Formats: sequence, structure tokens, C-alpha cells
Amino acid sequence: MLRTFVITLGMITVLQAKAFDKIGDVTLPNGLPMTQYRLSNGLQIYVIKNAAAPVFSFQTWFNVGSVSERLDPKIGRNGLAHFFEHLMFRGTTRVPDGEFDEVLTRAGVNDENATTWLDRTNYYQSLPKEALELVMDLESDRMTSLNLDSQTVESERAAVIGEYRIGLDDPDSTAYDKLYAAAFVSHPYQYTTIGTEDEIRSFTLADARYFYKTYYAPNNAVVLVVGDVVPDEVVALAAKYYGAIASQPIPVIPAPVEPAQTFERQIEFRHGQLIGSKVLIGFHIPEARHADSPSLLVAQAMLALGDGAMLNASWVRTGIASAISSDLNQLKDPGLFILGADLQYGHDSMELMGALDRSLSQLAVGVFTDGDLERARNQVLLRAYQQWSENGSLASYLGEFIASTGSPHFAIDLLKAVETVSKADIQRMAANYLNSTNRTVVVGKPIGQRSTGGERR
Amino acid sequence: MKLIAWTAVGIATMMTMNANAIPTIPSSFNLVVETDPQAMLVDLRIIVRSGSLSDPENLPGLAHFTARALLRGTKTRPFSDLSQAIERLGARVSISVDQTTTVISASVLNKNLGHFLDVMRDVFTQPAFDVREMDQLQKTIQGELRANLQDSRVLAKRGLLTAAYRSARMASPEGTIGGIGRITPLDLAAFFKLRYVRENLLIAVSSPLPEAELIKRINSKLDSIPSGVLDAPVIPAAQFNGRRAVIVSKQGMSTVPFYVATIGVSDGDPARPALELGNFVFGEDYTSRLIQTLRVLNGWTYSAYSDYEMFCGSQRDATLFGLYTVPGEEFVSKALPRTVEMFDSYSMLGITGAEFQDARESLGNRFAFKTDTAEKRLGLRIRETLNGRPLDSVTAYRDRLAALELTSLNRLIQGRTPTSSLWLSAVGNPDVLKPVLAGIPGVESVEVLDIQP
Repeated sequence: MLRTFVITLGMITVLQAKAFDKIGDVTLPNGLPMTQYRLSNGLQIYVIKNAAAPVFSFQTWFNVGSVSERLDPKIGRNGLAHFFEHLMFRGTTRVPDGEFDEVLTRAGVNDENATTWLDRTNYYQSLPKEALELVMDLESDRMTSLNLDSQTVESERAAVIGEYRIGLDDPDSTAYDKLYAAAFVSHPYQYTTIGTEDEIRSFTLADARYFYKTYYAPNNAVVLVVGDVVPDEVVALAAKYYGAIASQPIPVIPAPVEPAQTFERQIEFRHGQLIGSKVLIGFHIPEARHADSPSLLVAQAMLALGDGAMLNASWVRTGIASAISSDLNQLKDPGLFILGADLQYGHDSMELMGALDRSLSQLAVGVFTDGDLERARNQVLLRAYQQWSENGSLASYLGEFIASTGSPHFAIDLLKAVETVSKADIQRMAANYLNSTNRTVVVGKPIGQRSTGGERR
Repeated sequence: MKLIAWTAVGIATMMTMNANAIPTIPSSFNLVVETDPQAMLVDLRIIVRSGSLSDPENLPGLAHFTARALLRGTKTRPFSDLSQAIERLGARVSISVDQTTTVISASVLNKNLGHFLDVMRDVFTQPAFDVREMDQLQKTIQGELRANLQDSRVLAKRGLLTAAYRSARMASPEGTIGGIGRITPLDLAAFFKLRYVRENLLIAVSSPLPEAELIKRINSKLDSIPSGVLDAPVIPAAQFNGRRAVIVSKQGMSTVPFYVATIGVSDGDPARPALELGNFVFGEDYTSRLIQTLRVLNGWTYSAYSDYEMFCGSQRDATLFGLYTVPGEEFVSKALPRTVEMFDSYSMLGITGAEFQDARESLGNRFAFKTDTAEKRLGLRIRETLNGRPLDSVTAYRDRLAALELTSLNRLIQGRTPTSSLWLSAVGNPDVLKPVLAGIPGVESVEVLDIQP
């Protein structure tokens, strides 16, 4: 039981007044104030006050994902960052295994979970406002005092393998992994975050301890708090609970630069759960901080967001595909602009690619109206504002930008920049990035369907 | 990630919500509204009280097809003009259908609400049902139905619903390839005329606008929707006859999606909140028995949870209460029997005093998240209107929890969670699964189902 850990806020404010710096204030486009602080140990804290309901979301983002582990010569494999994320729920020297979840559950936790990806790992939960100090206590405790033992590692390994196998049985997940594996030849983005089953089986207690000691430190983390909280009280509590955790050197190993792709790559795979064929296309794009990011967002909407999107006309309404998808993975390093389709019976990937090329040519030469551009810009804004409508999703939105660009301000500026994206910008995106030599095409087929294609140079 | 579930937004209420679902300001529509002064978007849901159970027997998918067809053009705006008109306003419209309702959901940038409602008036009063558009849409929906069955979890769920209801209209609310293929523009027009009428609609809106202004706008923009009759179909009772299992055959799977279901409890049933507390202990949460035993203790599965709405969503009528897990194939001989054994134990013994106390505390504190956004509050008001689920305040909900007593709760669990009759559904290799399912105590038959889109 951890209820007894909670003490009053007034005491903390006085005790910790000098332990942090206030970096600045900004008002978000939705009118909510955001305040930024930094503790003396390097922990960054962003607080957004939203008193609309007596709740808050609390998120901790670590600047480590599967890329770092791959580059670290002491690990050199994939899957440990994710495996370790599971272990973070399994108890500390002070909080026995299972009690982290139980205590938060009794406090009324909602949407408690964690995710690991290429460049970052995040932990999140939402709670009634009375539980702010409780979550600070628990989160700071597991940042520094995790109890790692062989039994816990083994029992969690089985759950991780179960998660891995769900992905294996899912053709969408398989196609996505194959796209990244083929699109990147040097950069560690080519490896899956969850790793292979062999890699998951290979991790030892010593690996987990090394990873924890090396990457989980306050100067490698950001805390985001959004909700019915008082910013100065949040930072005072942070100083109390996180302030004594020492900063430490974090290995900085630059990822190899991905060489420019000079010819289209094509990969085909077969999957037992596929009924029809599926196509994923990935174009290399610059890193999230790049000035072209707003234009790429609008270009994505032009092509694939909504019924009025160009690919809805050229893929779905022509009967080539039953559904389209798109994903803009703007990452810390250059990422991918992804388009996808489920093919209709009687149609093949060559037909789909021909239709795509025609649409991309139209985009490149500017065969679209100002109305099309307005549609795309407004679709980007709509999607962003939908993510801003809840404490947790707002924190996630900003956290992802902090992980990829180092600052939430990029997210705010991005929305302003989207409104000024011009026709010429879109044409430039099509010409510079959405061309055939810069893309990788993955075609998934049901088992038993005749093979076509291969690598095209 | 330690994800266990995709549970639906549950019960609840709000602190500031009006007691009545229908606003005090007169409206010619069944209308529920929520105000959120900070919102940057207006969310609009038009709920048609006809779903797949209103489809003619030979045309499964008609309700779904009709709703999708509305967005394919009106008499004044062909498809491309209509989609441009909607999306240029910073709006998006989506369709969902279940057994009893069709929901047209839209979000739009605040500043464009007026123009958006003009477009919606067109959509809801003069759809074109153009032959060429309908032909194209028909093929798209058929392709989607085919692609849906690539998800093995969908297959397992479809297997269970097919077994329990023996009806495509219950098992596949979006329709079947055959049913969609038989639907003509005349069928769509007739269904539209009959079902898209004022008395059969519930309009729900959350926005930053004052309630009176919002209602005035809705009334003025949608006033040309004609009158008609309420449909509101009744969900038939599921067929239970002892413990029976079905297998959907799939080769090459490394995991086995597995559902178990017994008779459920309707959304508005007075016993439902108490039973939800029981289910919180059994399978709703990460601290619940199912995930703790099947995943944390034994490592057999990544996911395990139980819910009253996993098969048919929230409904006015009783449907199914069930659980889901997805063990690795090598663990099925242990995991499937243990899962059913846990269900039996919960049904027979209920929960312990310590579990009861913790669940009461947890749910009482978590209640704040039932009402923390306008969208959730709107969802609750819709449930109140459609399903008769009472709206609670935080205080009322906590009082309700405080009034619960362990012995009577356990009697309720025993009485309302029967496990003598169950449906079990698994996806995988029948050679592996048949002996495992047949060996579960009380299972009288194991049938291999052929699920077609």
C-alpha cells in the first residue's frame, strides 16, 4: 500500500523552491497555457493546465528506443528496449511486483500503458487530480529503483513473445516490418522495434540491468503533465521526487546516414492470413525537424486523406483497391512517407502503381485546384485538433514531437505552417520525394497465388 | 506495451450534465447536446435507429450500404463535389453500423459548422443513389468485407456470433458479399425513405456553442427531414444449449484467438453496474484475474479480458457476456481449459471480500474518466436515451457502489453469469484444437465452421 507516501503540497513547494528552472510559458492554439521547466539533474517537464475536468494525464518519455540498442556495441540487437518496457511494470526495491498497477488502479487510473518505438519509449497514465503526488512517487521510484531478477525477466519474456507472435499472424504488421527492412540498408530503422523471436529469447538479466543503468536517467527523459494541475505545484513535486536522481552520461552514437536510394526496390511476401493482395509503398522523407515537414503533411492529405483524396479517385473509385491507408513517419532521422492499399480481386500491383504514378505526376505538375489544397490543409488541421481534444492524446501528440524534434514547439509551429503551404510547395514535395527511384514497394499475397515481380532497377 | 483490451467506453455520468437527455429548449428532433467551451471542433452524431436487424432477410448489409450511399452524392452535388464540399470545410464523416443502429459521425472545424450543416441537409434530404456510384460502392464494400476476414480475431468473433445466433444479420452487421451484391439503388432508396425519418433519428452534438444556439441551428438546418415511424429493432435471444465449441479453420497461425460467451445483461438492466464491478475483478482491468493468471503468472498469452460489450456493442437488449484471449499455439492445451475453468470459478464463487473492496475503490475513483470530455458525456447521454442506462453523478455512482453488499453481489454473479451453457470459438488448426476443446469439461460438441465474407 502506497497511500501513506502522500504528503501535502505546501511543504514540498517550500522545500524544493531552488531545484528547478522555469524555461518559459506559451499558449497553445487551443488556448491552454503550457509551462516548461528543467530540474537541475536535466529532467525536462512540460505542464499544460486544463481544468475542464478534475483529472490529468502523466507521461514519461525516455529518449531511447530500438535504434539506440542496435547502435550500442554492448547490445547490438533489437527488442531489448521494448522488452525492458515490460519489466518497468514489475516492481522496485520498495514497491513489490504487481503493486504498481494495483496502487494506481485503486487510485482510479485510466488508460495506463507504455509503448516503445524506434527513437523513444513512453509510459503514460491518467488519474484523478488528487493522485498527482502518488504518480510522481511511483514513476520516479521506477526510474531509479527497479527490481530486476531472473524470474521476472523469464515470466515477462513469454508475454513479449506472445506480443511478437500476434504481429507475426497479422499481415499488416508483417508488411510494415518488411517495408522498413527493405527501405533502409544502413540506418537501424530497418530493424523492428520488437526484435526477432531469437533476439527476444537471447536477452539476459545482465542485458536488462545494463540497459536500465545506461538509458533510464532524468537527463534522458521528459515528463508531460496535462490536466487539472497547478504548474508550480507539479514542478515542486517533481523536484521532490525526481530531484535526487543523479544525471549520468548517456551514450550518443550517431546512426549511420542512410544513403540516397537510386532505384525502386520491390519486395514480395506471402502470408497465410491474407485473402487478397496488399501493397505498401514507402518513400524516403527528411527528418521531422526539416522545413519540408508541413508541406509533406499537406501532400499526404492531398493524396490519401479523405474521400476527396487523389488516391481515393485513382485507386478506390477505379475499382483497383478496396481501401487505402497512409502514414507519415516523420522521425528523428529521415523516415518514410507510406501509402498502402488492399487490392480488389482481379487487379494487381502493377495496375495500382501505374495509377499512383499518374496521380503523382499530376501532383508534381500542379494539376490540382486551390480548393484541393484548402481541403488538404483543413484535413490536416482537423486531424491535429482531434488529437488535441483529450489530455492524454494532447500529451502524446506533443511527446512524439519532443522525441523526434527535441521540442513541442515544433508541433505548435507546424500547425501554423500548414496554413501557409502553397501549390508550389506541394509540387516540390512530389518532385523531390514522391518519385519512383526513392521508393520501396512491398506486395503481400495470399499463399498459393502466383508470384510476379522482383527487384526492379 | 502491456495492452490487454480495446474495451468500449463504459458506463458513467458527469458532474455538470443535465438530468434529462432531451434538452429543455424545444427541438423538433430527438436531440442531445453537450457543451465544451474549449473545443476546437464540433462533433455530430446522427444515429439512425435501424441497423442490420432491419435488413431484409435476403439483403444483409442494406442498412450499412444505405448509410455509405448517402455520402456518394446528392441530387445537387455529385460525389466529387460532395466530398470536396465536406472536406474543404475541415470536416470528416464516417459510418458505423451495428445490429440496431447506424451512426453517421462527423467532426468539423468550429468556424464551419453552419456551412457543414447545409451540406448535411442536402445529404439527408436528397441523396442521389446514382446507379454508377452505387455499382462502384458495392464493389468497394465487398472488397472491404473480404479484407476484414484477414483478421483472425474478427474470424473468431464471427464464428461465435454465427454459432450463437445463426443469423448473418447478427454475425455481420456490415453485411455479406452476397447480400451487398443483391442490393439495388431502388432498395437503397426505399430503405432510406422508410428509416431516415425524424422519429427514427437521434441527433447528438458536442460543441463550444451555447446549447440554445446549437439547437436553433440544428432545427433550422435539418427541418426538412420528413416524419415517419420509429424502428428500433429488438435483438433476439442467443441460442444456448449446453456447452458447445466452434472452430474456424486457419493454418499457419502461431497464436489462437479464443472467445467464450454466455448470456449477457442489457445496458439499462438495474443489475448491470453491480455486475460490472464483478467483471472489473474478473477481466476488465490489467489487475483482473484473467490477465494476471493467463499472462503474468503463466505467460501463455499477451491479452486476456472480459466485457459485456465485446460482441454487439452497447445495446438496449441483453446480448452476450464474454471473454477473449489469444494464447500461443503451444499453450492452448493448458490455456483454453484454464480460461474456461476461471470463468466457471467466477460464476460459481463470485469475488472475494478484498477484491470487492479494491474494485469499489478503483471504480469510484475512475468514474471521473467517464465524463472528462464532452465526447464521453455525449456518449453517456446517447446510452441513456437509447438503452435506458441511468445517468449518475459522481456522488450517485459512488453511493451506488457503497450500497453494494458482497453476498448479494456474488448471488447476482451466480445468477446472471451462467456457465452451464456456453459458446466457445477458436481460430486455428482443427487437428490441434478439436481435442483440446472437446476435453474441456461439459463440452458436448465441437463443430468446424466455414466463415465466408
